[in-house]
Amino acid sequence: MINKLLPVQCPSCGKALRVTRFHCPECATGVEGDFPLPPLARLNPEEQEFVLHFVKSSGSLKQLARGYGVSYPTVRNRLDALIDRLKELEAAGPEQQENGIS
Amino acid sequence: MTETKASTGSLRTWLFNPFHYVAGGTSLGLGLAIILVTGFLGSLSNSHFDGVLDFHTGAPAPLAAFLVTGIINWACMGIALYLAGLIASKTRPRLLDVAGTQALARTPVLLTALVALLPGYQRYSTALATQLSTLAQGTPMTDPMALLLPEGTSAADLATFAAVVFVALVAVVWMVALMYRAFAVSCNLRGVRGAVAFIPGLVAAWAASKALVIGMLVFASSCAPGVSEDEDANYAANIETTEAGRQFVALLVGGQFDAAVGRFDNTMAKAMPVPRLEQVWKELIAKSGPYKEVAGVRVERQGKLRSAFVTCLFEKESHDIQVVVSPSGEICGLWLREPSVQPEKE
Repeated sequence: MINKLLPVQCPSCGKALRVTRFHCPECATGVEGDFPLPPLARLNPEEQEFVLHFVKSSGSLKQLARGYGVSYPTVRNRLDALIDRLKELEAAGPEQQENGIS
Repeated sequence: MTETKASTGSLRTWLFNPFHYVAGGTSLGLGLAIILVTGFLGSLSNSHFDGVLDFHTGAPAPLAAFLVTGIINWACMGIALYLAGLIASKTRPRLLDVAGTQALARTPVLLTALVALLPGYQRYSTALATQLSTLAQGTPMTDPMALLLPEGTSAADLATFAAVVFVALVAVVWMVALMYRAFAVSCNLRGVRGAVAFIPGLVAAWAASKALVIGMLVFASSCAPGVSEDEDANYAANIETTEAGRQFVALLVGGQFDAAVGRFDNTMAKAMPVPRLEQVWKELIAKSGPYKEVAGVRVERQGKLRSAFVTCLFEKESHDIQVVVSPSGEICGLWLREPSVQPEKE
């Protein structure tokens, strides 16, 4: 099964995409509206994976560094960059979307 | 985790940013081991890393001086850049990371210490120091080529010397690049902000290390019993003694027994006139086989006198020719001894 990526950015203008339709695969019910994506969902897949591992390792940077096979300050720097990124997304609000961090 | 697959890393990252993978206690342990090994190798070739960025081949010194110098360099860099990181970084760096990565960043000087062991480099640097010392004392330079190829050195020695200097320069550039990357990773500082914090830290660390190393040498010399000369004078005297020994042997090898006796003081000249010296040398050749080369020179001090033990290889065996030099630079003693260290036989 293909692990499809959630598109968060308009390929045309670069602005943040919003969810307008949900679909239940069991009963085929559809819900329509205008739902902004939360900041965590607007992170790129790599950043989302980092958050996932961070939570699963109980916030231990040492454990996270071991898992990634990198040094402690490398992981801490990545976390600092992620914190800055989330602050930017929160400050910008749901309408704005900037390019992802490296 | 995606990074785990790539954790072996590229060679480029390991060479120029190993701190992506290694920091903290591991880096500190590895770095300190490398610093101590560098100090030990430096003691074998009298190569002093007497400052954060410095490399000089000079006077013999106790092993402890070489080891402590390495620790001073590392500590100065660690403390200066930790303070720079505290001031410039948005996040508080860990001292363990800064100190550990800065220790590992000194790895390239190990390469310098290794190549400085090359005999050609040792011969040339010793002879060049003697030559420059002679010029500094006001002796006019009769042959400009003597500065390029000092007495007792060959073109191969010059090439080795140039190669070692080149390697040392590359190692310093590499080390500075590693120091910056170590600082960037451990303090989370990059770009202009990182450079603006790193450069003053490096300059401050260099100045502090120079002051501390000089202070340590002055303190050590003042504590050492019977040592009244300062470090420079001691260094120069050892260099001159080494060169006196080499030159004396070169005169014997060249059959210039008149010139060799001309270097004796009055007592020695009476005890061993030209015919006697010539006879002794020829007997030595007859017994030990044709002369091959000088394997090395070490200097020992007995009171005011210094002895150069010139280890000479002959076809059948080897000998230490002990040339005793007085404070005035004349040869006042000559002995033939078994070598203290047996050269390797083919």
